Amino acid sequence: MYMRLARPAFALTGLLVLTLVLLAVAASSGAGWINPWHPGDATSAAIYWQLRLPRVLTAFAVGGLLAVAGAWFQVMLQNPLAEPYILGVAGSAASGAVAASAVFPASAWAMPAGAFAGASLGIAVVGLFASLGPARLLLAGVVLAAFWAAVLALLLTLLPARALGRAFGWMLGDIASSPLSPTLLLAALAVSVLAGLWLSVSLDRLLLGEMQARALGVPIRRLHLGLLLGASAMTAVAVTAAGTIGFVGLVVPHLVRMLIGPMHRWLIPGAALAGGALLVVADTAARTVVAPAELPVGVLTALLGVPVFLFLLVHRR
Amino acid sequence: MMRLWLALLCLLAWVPAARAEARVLALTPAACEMLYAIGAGPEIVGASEHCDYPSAARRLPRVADYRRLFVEPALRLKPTLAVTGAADLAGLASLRAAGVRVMLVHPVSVRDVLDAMQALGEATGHAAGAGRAVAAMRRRLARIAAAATGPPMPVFYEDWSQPLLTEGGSSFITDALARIGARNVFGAMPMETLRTSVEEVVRARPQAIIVPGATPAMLAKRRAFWRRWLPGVPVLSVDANLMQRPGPRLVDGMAELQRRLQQADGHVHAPR
Repeated sequence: MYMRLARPAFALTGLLVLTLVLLAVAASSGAGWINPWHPGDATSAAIYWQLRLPRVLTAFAVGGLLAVAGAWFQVMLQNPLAEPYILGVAGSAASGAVAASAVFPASAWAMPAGAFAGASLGIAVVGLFASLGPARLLLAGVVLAAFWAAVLALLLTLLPARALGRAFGWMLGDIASSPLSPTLLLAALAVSVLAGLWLSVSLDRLLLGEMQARALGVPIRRLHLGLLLGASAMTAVAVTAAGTIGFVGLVVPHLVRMLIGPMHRWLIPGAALAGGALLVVADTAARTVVAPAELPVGVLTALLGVPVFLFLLVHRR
Repeated sequence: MMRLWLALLCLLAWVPAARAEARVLALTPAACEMLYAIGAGPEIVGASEHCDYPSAARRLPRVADYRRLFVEPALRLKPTLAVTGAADLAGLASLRAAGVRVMLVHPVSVRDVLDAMQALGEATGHAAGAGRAVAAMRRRLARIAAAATGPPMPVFYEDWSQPLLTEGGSSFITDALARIGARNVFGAMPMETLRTSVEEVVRARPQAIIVPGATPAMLAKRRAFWRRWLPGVPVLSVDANLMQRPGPRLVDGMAELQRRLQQADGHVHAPR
């Protein structure tokens, strides 16, 4: 499907170095440059270690999870337009978050717990259709996404406005107020990358089409179900942490395929790094370009990612 | 005989004109309060969901929420004038098409609030009532201005905590804060409301944090949060229905907030 740009191992190493540099620069950037080893005063040190670094790591983990989930959905559904939200998980998560925050307005955990419960329900429903095969599963997912969007609209209309303020904030996508700790999110990302590496040979065979993959001994049904549940769980974690952030899960897997080819043992760690790096850059821009105000991060993922993607699309055919 | 007929004719022409008083839809809580304050309360025929002051407003038929107008029930009330805070309120176009005059009241300063009340007075035939209400507000504002002594106190006005939302330069709240002797630390930003971060608030060094409409439990939570970042900076609340509604009771909110800020300031700086 794509010509790759460089030798995969070389490209992945380059991506890793670039990502680490970006993480370091992003954490130091803000209203003032902070050197973590010589922060100057206690306030700057606290800002670096308690505000900026957790936020940068959260953005990295969420971006990585979305990109890996996107790569899985694309190979499982055999559709280049697949992305983490395509099967309606974001809509069911948002419905859960809105419902829970209206029922328990005083609880800090109501919204993330509701989001996760809603996402799990969405996954369970879509899982019922896992055996239909990619084309019909995709259709079922798109229809379910419409259903969850309707449920969400219904909740937003019927519930009192006062109960919805928090949910609206969360739906805007907000990395700064993630209820999940960066350590937990990074652990989830690590698990998803390891699982992706473990499944990489099967995923490569799936690229040849289901018939060939089955002929090569891939247990298609189990793989499908595993991918569906795994990718949906990653999406659920990412959505719970930061709300819905578009574009990363759709485009980063393609971007990485252009750079280092379609083989999954390179693609999955590459997507994790590139997705994380893109969201870190986007979030850093979101909090600095109009400082002291902030932009919603989803605006910037697309503004930054689209030109890069289109450039590669034209030049790397 | 001819004279009698003419007199009768004049009377017939005059009666409907005199009786055709305004039938008003108050589509924001602030518009509702303004209309009552200028004496146009009896002419309000419908209101938005959140119109709750004065108590008579609670009995009004509801024809809108904060996002949209319910066109059919609104038109059934045969309104002649609709007062709205948002030009893009869904359903307004249908109202205009039906010949209802739509007045946009969106104050970006305290002065705008006074002007809007005067304009509403003229539109509803209550110019005198509006003049009295505005004069009373001006007297309150003068007292507030007289009490605002010393250099302006930098304050952070926390509309929302997650994400952190505040008011910018084109919000009447920034002007209201300036008039009570405070300075909105994000007042130089051109937006009406903006999203910001804990880091930027810390760097702006406010001397007080205002959390409008906070319950005691919420206020305790916000105090605990801000103590980590801005130790010693008082976190206080103000009635959001007074401070956030650009209407006649804004001066009450301003006076209340001014008093609390001065108490807090005295408390903070007492040892100095």
